[in-house]
Amino acid sequence: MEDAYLVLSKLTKTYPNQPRPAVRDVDIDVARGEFISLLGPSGCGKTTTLRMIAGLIVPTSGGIRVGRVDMTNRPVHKRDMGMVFQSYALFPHMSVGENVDFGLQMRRIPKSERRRRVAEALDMVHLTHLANRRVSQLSGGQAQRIALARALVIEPTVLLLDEPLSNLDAKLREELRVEIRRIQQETGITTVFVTHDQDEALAMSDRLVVMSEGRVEQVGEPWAVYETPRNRFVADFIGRTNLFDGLAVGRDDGLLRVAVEGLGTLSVRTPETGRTSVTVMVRPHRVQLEPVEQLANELKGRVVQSSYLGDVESVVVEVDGVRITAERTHSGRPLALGAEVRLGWGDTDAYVIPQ
Amino acid sequence: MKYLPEAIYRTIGAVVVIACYLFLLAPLLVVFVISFDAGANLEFPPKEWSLRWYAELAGNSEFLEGLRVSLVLGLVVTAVSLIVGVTAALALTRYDFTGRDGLVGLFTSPLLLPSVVLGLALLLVLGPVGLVGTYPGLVLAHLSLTIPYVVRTVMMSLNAVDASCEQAARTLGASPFTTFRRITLPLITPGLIAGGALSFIISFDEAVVSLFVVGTGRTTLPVVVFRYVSNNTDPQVAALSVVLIVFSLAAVVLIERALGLKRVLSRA
Amino acid sequence: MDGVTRMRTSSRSSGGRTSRAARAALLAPGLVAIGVSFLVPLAWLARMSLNRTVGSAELQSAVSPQSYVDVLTDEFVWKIAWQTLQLGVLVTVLAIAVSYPIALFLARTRSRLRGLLMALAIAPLLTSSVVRTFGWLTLLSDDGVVNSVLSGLGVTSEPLTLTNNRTGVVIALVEIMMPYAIIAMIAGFGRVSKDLEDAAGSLGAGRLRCFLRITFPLSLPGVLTGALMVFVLTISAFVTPRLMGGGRVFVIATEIFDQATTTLDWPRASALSILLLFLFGVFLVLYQRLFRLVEGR
Ligand SMILES: Nc1ncnc2c1ncn2[C@@H]1O[C@H](COP(=O)(O)OP(=O)(O)OP(=O)(O)O)[C@@H](O)[C@H]1O
Ligand SMILES: [Mg+2]
Repeated sequence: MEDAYLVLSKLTKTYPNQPRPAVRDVDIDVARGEFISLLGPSGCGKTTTLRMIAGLIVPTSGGIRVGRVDMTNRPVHKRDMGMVFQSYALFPHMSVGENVDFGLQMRRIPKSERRRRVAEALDMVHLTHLANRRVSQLSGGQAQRIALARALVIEPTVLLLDEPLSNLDAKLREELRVEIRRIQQETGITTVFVTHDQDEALAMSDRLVVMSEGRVEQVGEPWAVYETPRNRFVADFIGRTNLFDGLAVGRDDGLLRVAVEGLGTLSVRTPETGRTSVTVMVRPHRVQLEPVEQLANELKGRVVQSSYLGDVESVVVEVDGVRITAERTHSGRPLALGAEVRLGWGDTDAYVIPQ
Repeated sequence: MKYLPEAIYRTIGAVVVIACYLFLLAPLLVVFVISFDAGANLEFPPKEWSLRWYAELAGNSEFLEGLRVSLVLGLVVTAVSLIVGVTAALALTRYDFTGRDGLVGLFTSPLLLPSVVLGLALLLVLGPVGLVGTYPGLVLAHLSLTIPYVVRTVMMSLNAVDASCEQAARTLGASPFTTFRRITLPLITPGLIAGGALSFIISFDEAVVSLFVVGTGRTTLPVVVFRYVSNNTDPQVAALSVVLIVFSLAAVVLIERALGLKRVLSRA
Repeated sequence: MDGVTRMRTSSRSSGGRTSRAARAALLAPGLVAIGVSFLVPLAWLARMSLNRTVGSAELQSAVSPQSYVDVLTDEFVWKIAWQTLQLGVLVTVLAIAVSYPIALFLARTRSRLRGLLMALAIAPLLTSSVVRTFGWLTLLSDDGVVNSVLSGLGVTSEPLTLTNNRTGVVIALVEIMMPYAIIAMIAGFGRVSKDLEDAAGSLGAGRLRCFLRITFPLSLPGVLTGALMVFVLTISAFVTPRLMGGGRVFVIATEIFDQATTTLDWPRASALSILLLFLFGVFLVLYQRLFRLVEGR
């Protein structure tokens, strides 16, 4: 990538006395002003990666660069990176204003300018009125906003956030999601955001980095990762999905024919893969129940499970021993267990996973 | 028996607990009362009250000298154990290394040693180098008693400090030393107060180890009292004891306010 | 991408070396202090126990087990060792008995005064044992508080002899050990909860049965810890046996003191000290066995 700003190259960390590295050969390029999310299951190395960027963990090997500057061996306090912690990490013995001021004091900025910038930062998170509060008197959402203001006031080169929303309740989380994204776009700051909440990652990011067991599985824009996962792990991890393993048995007119045990032969519109054993992915919301039009793939089955969630109804249908999850959005009364249903999807609703 | 009303069990329980408390506090209460006795032969309750013994205390040069030595000693020992304790506790909580647990054990092991054994051991090394009955000798002797408590108390406070606060300060541009001064130190201040008060009072009250290492030189107050009580008992010692108790109370209040007495004093 | 290829690769040792140096610098003062005030004296004590005393009090450098042989073949030493152990057991049993109600009360009460009562129970720990022993002297001496109250009430005609003997030593030691016992027991009472008793009560157990079947067994680990604490402190106590015993009660600790400061037989005093430490070790191991047994149920 030509305009890469934050560059991680072959970043690897093996903790002492651990057999396997927690992070292995991670290569990520982040463009200036980009919002990128690290997403993956617990223990996959997201925090370790983020902390290596911040300088809180020394990499075993590999390098970190910001702009033209090599950061790899630079101590934490000389990196100019803002970090927001999961536990907020506000200084309990200082007021809100003093917390935000701290980074400016460290930079020996004159008092009048400090005062102005603290006020601006508090204004940005809409908490100007709390400047003299004690930290212990803040709500979780307020504390997280202050932590964000404190990290941003120093005008860092990169903003690092480690699951900043995970200690908040669902409603507040969505509110802050929007707010963080707004501030990020206003300030245009390059941001690395760690989360294990895929909705959060999909909603906020310019690009996603999906990690597993210390490795990067896929990097891409949210829609691309969701629609065209590079491998089985990503398909399974991002969103709910139906995966069918089968054999490619023929090809005509851009359609691949895949024989899947129990389902017969499925048709998928896909470029040539050149492989015989393939995995077909169909997202549940692409599966239609009782379709009205003619579809490329049509099946009959029996409802074995149905969860009514309000806006959608998630239905599991068993077809000849194969379970298929479908989502109905126009549901009234949920489907009865044991009911016979027809279901199907078009040839462009399915996707063949490359690996 | 099984059908006695609840209230009776409660009353029996309360009486037992109060009796046990009375037994526990009896000597301190008695000392307190006797110190205000106008007579000379430890009557209880006293027939007449006065501050006579406190006045005599103020004129007793032996006691005053002992008090002075104990105060100086307590302050020096506390200062040294705080410095030593904070640095050691920092190394033991902020770094992970093989042998860490062993070192924690080493720093707290003098707690397990009987004071007589420690006193004798110190006498044996301080004697040949001429430090018996001197301030340096006494400070050294008391350090082995106070360091374990200070290390433990400070470690407790350091462990309670959220590591991410220190890390946040670092990302905001604070050097390791600035982080310690601006973040860590203010946050462990209650631990330092508790550890300091404990260290002072341990040194100030210590009798056994001091008995071994004072020789014929500088003598601490508890040793003076010990020697005095070995020969005679009169209300003047009671008055002196009250003075000692007041120091202890001050320490108790400080520790309780800062960290909580129970947490600081349990040895396990 | 040339910036990336030019990036130096970090090695762990660079960060590691500075942190190791910092760690060493931080540990140094503590290690010196503990070394000089604790390890060296202890090592020197062990060495001293192998020296010999010739004549009245002349120290002779040697490596000989002579002082151990002397100590272990001395009937007087066996007698005081036995008395020390007896004292330890007696004081431990009594101290636990009078501390248990307080500890149990403090562990379970939801009173607003709990903090104050807790402080009251363990604050005596921070007053000098000399002061507390002096308090007992004034309470128990022939013309002391207890005797004057008893004779005033006409209960006794002759004063009871409660000082300068083992009785006085036991009474004072029991009281002096109480705070230790209380702290240790409360810490060990973690699992004793009022809820459990209420549950047992709701299942039809009477108060007494509740206590014997639920509360007491659950409090045993705390009792054991407290007992060990009191026992080891008692067998090494010096101030109280000396002052309350008026020089007539002998225990290992007083014997060590006398040998060291009066007789000036340092090898013998050192050997006695090592034997006392050995006793400590034995009881620690025994205790751990017992504790595992009780905890393991
Ligand atoms: N200090 C450490 N010492 C040894 N192993 C560690 C250490 N910190 C993390 N690990 C291990 O490294 C791996 C990656 O940890 P990391 O904290 O980066 O995961 P994560 O993706 O942030 O997980 P989570 O979503 O649970 O926060 C895990 O297997 C973890 O157990
Ligand atoms: Mg994490």
